[in-house]
Amino acid sequence: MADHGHDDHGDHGHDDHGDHESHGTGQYIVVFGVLLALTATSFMIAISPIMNTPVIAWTLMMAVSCAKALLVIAYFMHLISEANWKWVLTIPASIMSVFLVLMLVPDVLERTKTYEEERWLHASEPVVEEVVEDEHDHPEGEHTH
Amino acid sequence: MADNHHDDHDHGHIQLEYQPALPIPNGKLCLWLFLSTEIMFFAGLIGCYIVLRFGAPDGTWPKPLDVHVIEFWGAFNTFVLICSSVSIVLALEAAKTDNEPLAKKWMYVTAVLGCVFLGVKMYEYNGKFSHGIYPSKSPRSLLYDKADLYYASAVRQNLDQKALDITNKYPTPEERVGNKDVTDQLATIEKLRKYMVGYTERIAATSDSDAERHAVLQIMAYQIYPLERNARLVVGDHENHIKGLVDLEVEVWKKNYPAIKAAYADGLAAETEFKSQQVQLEAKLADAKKRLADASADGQEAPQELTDEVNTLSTQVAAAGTAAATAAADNKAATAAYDMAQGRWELLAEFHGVEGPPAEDGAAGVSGDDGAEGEADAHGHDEHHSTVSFSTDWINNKHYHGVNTKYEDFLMMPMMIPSGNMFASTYFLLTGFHAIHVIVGLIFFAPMCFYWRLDKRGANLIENVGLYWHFVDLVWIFLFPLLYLF
Repeated sequence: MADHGHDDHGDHGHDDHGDHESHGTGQYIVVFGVLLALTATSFMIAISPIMNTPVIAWTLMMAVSCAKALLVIAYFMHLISEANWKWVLTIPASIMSVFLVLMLVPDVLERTKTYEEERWLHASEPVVEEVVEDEHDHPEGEHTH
Repeated sequence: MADNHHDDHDHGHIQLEYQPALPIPNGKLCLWLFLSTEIMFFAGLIGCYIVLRFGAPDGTWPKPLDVHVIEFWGAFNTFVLICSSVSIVLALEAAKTDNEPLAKKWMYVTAVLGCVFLGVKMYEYNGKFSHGIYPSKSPRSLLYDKADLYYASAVRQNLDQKALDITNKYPTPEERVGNKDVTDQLATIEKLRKYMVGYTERIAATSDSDAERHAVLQIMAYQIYPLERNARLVVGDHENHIKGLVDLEVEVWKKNYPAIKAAYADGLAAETEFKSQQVQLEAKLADAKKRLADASADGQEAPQELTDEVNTLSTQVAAAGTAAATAAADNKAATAAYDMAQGRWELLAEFHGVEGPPAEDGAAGVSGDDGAEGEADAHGHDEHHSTVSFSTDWINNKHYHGVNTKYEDFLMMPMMIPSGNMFASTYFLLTGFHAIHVIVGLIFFAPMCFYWRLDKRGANLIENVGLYWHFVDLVWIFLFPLLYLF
């Protein structure tokens, strides 16, 4: 990406004044192509055998999404060429976002670990690896992986 | 300071240079501040989705196909939004070079792409609504988290209501008799009421075995709405969850069927026996009565023994009639059991590809344990025949027909989709908020396309709306894999 940035800067960098610097249509098309390729990549991951180990597939897909997001932010939203104020607005917001999700982990993400027997009566049944036998006797045991 | 401004123009000018805190227009600064709150807003929503989804009881989150989420449309919408991001940025470029017609053109493209996105969204929402997937537990929602007795009673209520609707629509029997659709529908509902819900409720209420109660409810849920998730749930090598349950039921069925059939046959024989006795006695009685009448017709008094015979025969006929009626009544339970066994088998054959007809081949079916399996081996890999005692067709080609699919023209029954309600809530919340942002973007596009000037002075405006639009795209970039591909 950086290469394209430099090229375009060389070509069109000086035709505009101040903060309205042109980035060139060519660069947008390249970014567009990369975004499409990355979308196709997530799609291919989703239909590939990688999905048999979901954690890897999910991580890959989120990585691809982050890459796409960074491309959009950097080139379409011109953040790559903005002054340092960009960090003030984006970094704290991003950190807050991550913290917000982490705060939810003990109470919400791990909620089934503290489910009472009664709560399981109204919950979706965990998928068991055996045919039938003793579901209702050990609801705690089924979801400890 | 203000005084200085009036007095001294040079100082005023310098003062204006110090005014902006950041080297960007105020509008853009505000927009970025707004976007940083938006980042946290959507991070909160997406974060909630992540913890709810991955904290759901193990393996219960529905697969996309189970809840009518089609990956293609998600990818298509991603494509549409990326295109619109490019087009709005090209509009900005055109405006910067003072090329207003080109800027307008790119704005038209952007607006159209935004509308396409919303159109696809509407299509997707409609697909979910029409399959009973709603964001809340409304009366229209057909989602149930587990197959329990509440689920069974919801299924029964649904069938009863459907039958009532049909009979209300065609109140007189004459209207129904001529109408093949209606009679077929009523027959189907009756069949499902009896052999699916009726059977399930009875076993679920009376069985001593937890496993059996559980299995029969699960089987019903799969008959109505088979889930990809459960079809793929590997138990043995080439087996799966529901196959195991159906095999269990088939085993029990085979064990009980001979006794049920024998009881029914015995009862029937007894009933026939009494009936034929009754008929014979009636014939004798008629004969005796005739002779009595002949004798009386001669004008003489009828012989005493003839009168006695008629009296005796009358008593015997009455007794035989009572006996036949008693036998029929006794046989009622056996008949019902036999009928249920047959109907149940047909249902299993219809929805789970169980093979081996119960009545004709009953003896063969029950002779050995491996009746169905043996046949399956013989049939090998015949495509349209269910191969094993359970059809694996629908697992492979995803076109298995549950009740909801097979009779979708008139039946839409409650579905067991574990964590389906949580899915629906989060799906509609996330995509709904995103769609609202798209709509807001379109509201700004309208004057940009048709009213505001998009020359060099309009570039700032395009840039600000563009920043907002890119953010909308950004959110979708994360929603697409999370909702469609995970």
